[in-house]
Amino acid sequence: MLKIDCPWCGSRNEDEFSNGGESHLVRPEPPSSVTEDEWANYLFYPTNTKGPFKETWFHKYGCRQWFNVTRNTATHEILNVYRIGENPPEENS
Amino acid sequence: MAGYRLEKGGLVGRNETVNFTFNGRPYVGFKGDTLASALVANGVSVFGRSFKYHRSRGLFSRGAADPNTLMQIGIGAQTSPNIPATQVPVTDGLVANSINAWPSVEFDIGEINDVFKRVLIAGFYYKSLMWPKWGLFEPIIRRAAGMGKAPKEPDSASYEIGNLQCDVLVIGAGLAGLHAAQAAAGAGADVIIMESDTVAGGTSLWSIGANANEDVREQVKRLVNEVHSSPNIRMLCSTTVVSYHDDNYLVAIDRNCDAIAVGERLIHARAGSVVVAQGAVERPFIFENNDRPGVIAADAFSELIRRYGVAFGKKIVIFTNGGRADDAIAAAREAGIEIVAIVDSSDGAGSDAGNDNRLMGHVIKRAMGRKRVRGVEVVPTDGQGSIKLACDTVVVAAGASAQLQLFTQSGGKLSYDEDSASFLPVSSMQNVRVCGASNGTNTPTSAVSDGRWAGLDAAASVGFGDKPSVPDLTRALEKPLWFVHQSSSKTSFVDMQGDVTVSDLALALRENFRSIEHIKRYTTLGMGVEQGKISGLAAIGVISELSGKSPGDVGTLKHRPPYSPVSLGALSAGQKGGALLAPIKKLPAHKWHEKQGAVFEDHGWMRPTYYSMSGETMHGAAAREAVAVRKNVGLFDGTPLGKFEIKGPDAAKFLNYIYAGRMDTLKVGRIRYGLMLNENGSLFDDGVVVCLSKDHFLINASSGHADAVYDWLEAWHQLEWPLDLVIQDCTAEWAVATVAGPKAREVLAALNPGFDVSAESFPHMSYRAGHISGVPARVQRVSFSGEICYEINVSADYGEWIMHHVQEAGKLFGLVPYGIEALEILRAEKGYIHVGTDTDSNTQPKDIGFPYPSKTKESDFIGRRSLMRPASHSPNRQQLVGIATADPDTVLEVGAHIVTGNPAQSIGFITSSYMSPNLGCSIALALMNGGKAATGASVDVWSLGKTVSGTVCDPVFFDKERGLLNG
Repeated sequence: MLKIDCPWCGSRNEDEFSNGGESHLVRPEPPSSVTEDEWANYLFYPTNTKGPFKETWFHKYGCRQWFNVTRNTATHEILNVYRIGENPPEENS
Repeated sequence: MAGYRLEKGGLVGRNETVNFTFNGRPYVGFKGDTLASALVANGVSVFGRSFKYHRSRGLFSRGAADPNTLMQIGIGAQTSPNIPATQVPVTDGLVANSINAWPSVEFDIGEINDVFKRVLIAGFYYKSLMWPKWGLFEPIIRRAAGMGKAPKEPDSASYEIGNLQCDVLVIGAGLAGLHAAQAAAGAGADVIIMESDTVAGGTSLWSIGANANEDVREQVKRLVNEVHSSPNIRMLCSTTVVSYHDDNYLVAIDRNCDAIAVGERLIHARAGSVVVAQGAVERPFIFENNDRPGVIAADAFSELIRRYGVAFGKKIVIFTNGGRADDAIAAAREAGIEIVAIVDSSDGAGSDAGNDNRLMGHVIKRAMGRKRVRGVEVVPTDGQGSIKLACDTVVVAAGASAQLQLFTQSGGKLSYDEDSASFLPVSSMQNVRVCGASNGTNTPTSAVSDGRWAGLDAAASVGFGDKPSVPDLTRALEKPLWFVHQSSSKTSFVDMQGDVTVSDLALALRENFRSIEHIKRYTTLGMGVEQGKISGLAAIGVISELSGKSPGDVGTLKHRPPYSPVSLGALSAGQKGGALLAPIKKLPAHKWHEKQGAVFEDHGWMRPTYYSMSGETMHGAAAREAVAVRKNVGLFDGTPLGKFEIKGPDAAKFLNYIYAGRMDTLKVGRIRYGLMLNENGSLFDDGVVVCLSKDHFLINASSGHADAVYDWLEAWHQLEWPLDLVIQDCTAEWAVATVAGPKAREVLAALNPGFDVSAESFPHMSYRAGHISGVPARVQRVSFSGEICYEINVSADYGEWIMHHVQEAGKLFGLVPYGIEALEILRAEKGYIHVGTDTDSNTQPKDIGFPYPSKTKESDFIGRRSLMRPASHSPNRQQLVGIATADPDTVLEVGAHIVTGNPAQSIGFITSSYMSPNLGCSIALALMNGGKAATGASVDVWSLGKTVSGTVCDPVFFDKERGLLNG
């Protein structure tokens, strides 16, 4: 039962949220210029990181906002939380 | 001989007697006794029968670790199986029964299994009882397996749920844990300490340590009182932490609620930091017949004397490997119990066991006796010779197993320490540390230092006080005797609960199971209620010797929650049962539906499947309703339809991304059918879009899919296209009265909505807003039945009123309410699909007759790129078709396969199937490989051994020209 700090609502239990998978994915476009390999890569080959991993979470039973989380997939430790469109905190100068 | 009550001593209330029954016989105990201690005091030796071999078993260990004394507690609705007698406090009127024995525990027919041990070895169900067929033996084996009986009546107890938070959570209120709690509280932290036993104090309640220091017990008594009265420590006894989760979230069961009529309390706790102080338990010595009643662990033996005032036997032999048994020896002397001999497997160097007539360098080869030990055979560790000693009790002091299950659940890692012959914590993954005997300490002084350090460290880690330095701790130096080699391995029990012997482990190794996890599953080692608390380290030692690997290389078993059994009742705490197990959503017009004779089913909302008139069956009612809709007019409750308003300058642009078709060309007041795809190009949802104004649209999503569509829209808006618009879910805010049939227009006219309802002014697929009797109404002319149809949307507050009002207006025209089943028939007659019923996760728009992307739409949409893949153009794709049966009265099974060839191959399946009352024949929709090109072909449809002939046809069975819709 992770403790997740929603950027708007504060610290809440994991069961208020749903997980959206890897973050910062770039959707290839326009369709006519995307090769089969690029499209397959986007659809079917997620990064399977062991360690700090950037993913999205959705506060489904709260404010219903999506946000980013850096979580260590081996230890489950949540390192930071930041909004969609922001840079991860450690990359800010 | 057997156990008896000592005349004095112990902490039980000798003035307060308690009456209980065991196996139907009445017994008396004292307040403070457990069922186990009271039975021993009354001379009971055989508590139960073992799982597989039905060997007599008696008390061996204490607390949650005892493998032999599982009982059926209570009768009737509150009966509970498989509770260790060591954890049942005796109360007046308690009813306890042995399990796994018939007709009685004294004379159990199941003991015949002990004779057939050869056939019942580890993995026997893969090897024996194979001829002629395992299926003949399986029912017998299944009936024989399992322990205890489940109650047959509903549970009358109620359960509470509690949510707790604290800065520091201490698990275990023994010497180390109490000091940890005190130290943390002293630093300013808010502390909760949870203790599984009924009282705090831990081992110190009966053990006075290696140096016979009476002061330790007095100290602990004072300490317990101090902790009880400390303002920032909450102490919960009878509370077992059962699981350890992420971010220091722990679940515990409190079995001693103060509130009346509450059975147990389920506790969810979030701690800033955790201290594990769960202590250690004595593990068994492994020799021939070490499982006989009368063999008891040294800690349980001492606890019986000093805590319960009970002697386990009259003539005891003590089996040890060095200085471990000193506490038990002292306790036996205090109680005046005769010590026949002390058998010490060690060579004596370095031990201070000088003056008590030990047999050094000897081991017990076997115990004699069946229902109670009557003697032992002792042999030297090296060399020949054998001595037989008469006794009724064997006290074993083989070594301690640190209890680290919760620590490993938290992600903590262990490492094998050669000096102390135990696995000890070496690194934590979360904010948790271990102290006391579970950290390998073996003196009260070390436990105190370790506990204080842990408490201060835990408090400092969450901002209270300074981080303390790690103390010097003493640990026992052990020379473990993992098993007695001279004994017969077939009856040297490693896991008494699973009847797993040394020979079973040797068999597993011979059959090349190398990993301890495989050995566990092959032999069922550690899979009982005891979950390896005493059998785990014992088994690792045996495997280590048999395989030649060090215990560190053998490794430990992975511990999973729960630490000890949890009642299902406790897990249900906080939830209502019965009709309220899941939330029920009722339509605003629920009462009106009831008055019409609705038969409801849960479709997410409670919805009328049909309306029953004078005992109609579903098929009869649905047919009647479907005919009535096409003949005159029907009324349906469409409230659960998903409704989402998209408003903003970029609304149309956003909808163009969401839908496969173009929505930016939709004119104000017009409605368009749309398909939503996922990125894989497969159908996600279908529905209509209404243009309310240039920057304001209303999406209708499938009723059963509304929540998923809402999440979908929000996700794409927030994560991919943060365009200038807002998304508002108004599904539950509008009630929908759907009026369908050739006379629907007349009914709408009679409602006087304030706009022109003529065919020219209000064509199919358009929208009007008005008022009905002053109530604002949005009217969509869309159809799922293929008839003229108006969906009248009013505020949900008027939901009941609108159904009544429309029914009144429709009386003149023969209006009839119709339910879900009739609607299904009508839409299937028109070949209208349900996404997820007539489509699967592969179905793409072209498969159901929509050749997207259209030439007019150049912009990107979700799924567009996937539709460009070669597989999307394959002629053999599964496509939507209709199937007409050769015999019009035969209705196909949904899920039946369309088959071809010999042997038959499936080339498709039936997705929807009904008897059509309007056409007088059966109709079906199907997905079929290359179905479109096969139109007209004969097919065989197979289900459950029966084959039906049919023809592939147009999925639209009724009104193919769509003339009615535009009327």
